Amino acid sequence: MIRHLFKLIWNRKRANALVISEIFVCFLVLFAVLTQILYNVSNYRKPLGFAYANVSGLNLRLQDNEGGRQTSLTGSAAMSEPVAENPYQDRQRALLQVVKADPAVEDAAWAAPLPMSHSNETRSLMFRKHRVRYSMARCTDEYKDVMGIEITRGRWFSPEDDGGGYEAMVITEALARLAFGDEDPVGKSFTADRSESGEPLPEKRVVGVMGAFRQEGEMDAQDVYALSRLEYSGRPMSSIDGMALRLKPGSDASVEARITASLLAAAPDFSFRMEPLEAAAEFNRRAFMAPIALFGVVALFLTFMVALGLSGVLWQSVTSRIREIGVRRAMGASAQDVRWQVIGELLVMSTIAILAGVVVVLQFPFLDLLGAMSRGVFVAGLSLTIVSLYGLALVCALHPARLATTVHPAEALRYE
Amino acid sequence: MIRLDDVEKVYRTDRIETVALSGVNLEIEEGEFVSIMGPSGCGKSTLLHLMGLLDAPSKGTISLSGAPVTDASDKSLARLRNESIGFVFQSFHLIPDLSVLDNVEIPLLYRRVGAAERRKAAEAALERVGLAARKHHFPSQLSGGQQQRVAIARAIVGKPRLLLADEPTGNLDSQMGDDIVAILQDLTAQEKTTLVMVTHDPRQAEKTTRTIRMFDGRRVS
Repeated sequence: MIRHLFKLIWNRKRANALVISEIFVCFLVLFAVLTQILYNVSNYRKPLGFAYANVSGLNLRLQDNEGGRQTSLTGSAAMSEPVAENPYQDRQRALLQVVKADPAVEDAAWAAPLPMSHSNETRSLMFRKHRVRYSMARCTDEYKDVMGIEITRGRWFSPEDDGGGYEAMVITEALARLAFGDEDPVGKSFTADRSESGEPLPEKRVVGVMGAFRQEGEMDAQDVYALSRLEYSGRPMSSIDGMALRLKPGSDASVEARITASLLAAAPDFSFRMEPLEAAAEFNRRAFMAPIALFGVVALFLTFMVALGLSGVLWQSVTSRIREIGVRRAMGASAQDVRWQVIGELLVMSTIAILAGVVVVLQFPFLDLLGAMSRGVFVAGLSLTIVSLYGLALVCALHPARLATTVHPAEALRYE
Repeated sequence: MIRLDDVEKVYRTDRIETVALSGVNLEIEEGEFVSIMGPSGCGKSTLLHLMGLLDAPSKGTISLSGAPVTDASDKSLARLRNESIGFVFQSFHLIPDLSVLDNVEIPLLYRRVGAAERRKAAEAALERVGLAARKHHFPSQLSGGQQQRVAIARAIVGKPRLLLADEPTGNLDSQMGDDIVAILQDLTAQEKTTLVMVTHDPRQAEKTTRTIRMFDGRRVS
């Protein structure tokens, strides 16, 4: 019977081409939406790598009274002149002490970029003859406790890294896999073969591995990440303009105002802005979901239109083939056979459209266009699309199929 | 073979009640070639549809091979139509998007017969009506007489015991009509198939073993 249906559809290919095209377009749209949803759900369920509840981010800027502009602690002005040592280290130590002295603060660390800050520092280097791209942040030793980072291998930064002539790094498991494969990365040097100018680069030594660190929150797919240790005397510290503060549970806006006031008293030439990371994370989630929700609504509308179209076309097809249905009934088809034929024809057309769609979307993994999406999510998205489309076809065929069986065989044979 | 007892068929709409058949008693023996004649609208086709289990009587009973079928389920009736009855229609009713061979195979599809066996039976049926050479043609590529022969092949492919032909020569010229009736006669003679043919043509009716005459929904002879 299936072969008969394929033959029937093939012989009516001109009449069915539009329906098949419609299902094909629907397949692509559904695939895009469902795969995107699955991708985000899968990202959301992955470990974040840190805990941002009760953590606030503090940004500070140097107030330039003359120009009325604000620059970061160092900003372009600070970086324009090469400095061997950090000229701000005393003030930075003092400011951290001011913050830690507040009774509502459990711990605080200098760090940049801060989580949920939309600021991204990306490095790309040729490592062991393959390119490694990763995002990174720099932080002082307190950051692990402030952010609740869990070390899976090796250790966190410690004073034993002081003056060792290397840059201590803690990397995520994802970066460890990418750069070192199955090897244990702890103690290994994570440095490019040479800089673009050909000079040897300072050594970046992996001292530990953390489970994950998705800087922008639950929806962030980027997990190839590294944290680099800041020493107060080092030049990188001079460009740090962020601080992460773990507050005691129940701390409210008055605590933020108090801390900001204390900081202003200690450094009147700076401006300070403090925001709970939970609020920033919520903003990130909404900003991330808005376009997906919009796309989803458009896709839902399109799918609904396709469903109406399919149902209408099938209804019209049944109406124009009532005599054929009568002939089939006379030849021994039961009402159930006729119902399944109508449904089967749409399922066959869906199969043709789905096969074409699968051929198109299979190009993505072959052309390496999946990006950060895993093959598992891709396969799950594809499977869900196929099931959804067959479900849609089945639903669309039910009413026309019922219509086809309501006509009495004798009436169907007389139908003009 | 088939027996109708006091059969009545009434078509009802919201306002009108039309009596198509009334008090029809009829028995057709196995192997008979019977013609049904009468003026247009006298109920010939309705009677044929009732005998073919395509419609249910409003009153009375229909028995096939001694078993009453009036209250049978849709599934049972479909199986009876498939296994015991073959139909030939005035306007052929071939499916235009299927080849001759595929059209002939249709009754066997509903009997869940395998593809190879279906093909073999369909080719044999086409051979029987002299159209084996046209099996890959489509209905639109055939003449009226050829299309009717395909319809006969489709009707006999499942080897039914009862063949019902509703004005099979109505759309054909006299020569083609004679050819078709000759094929039908041959079937009754060789296969002992019971054949009931509705016709307006007294010349064709003369070739049958018995003629039943209808008038205003009643059997008059």
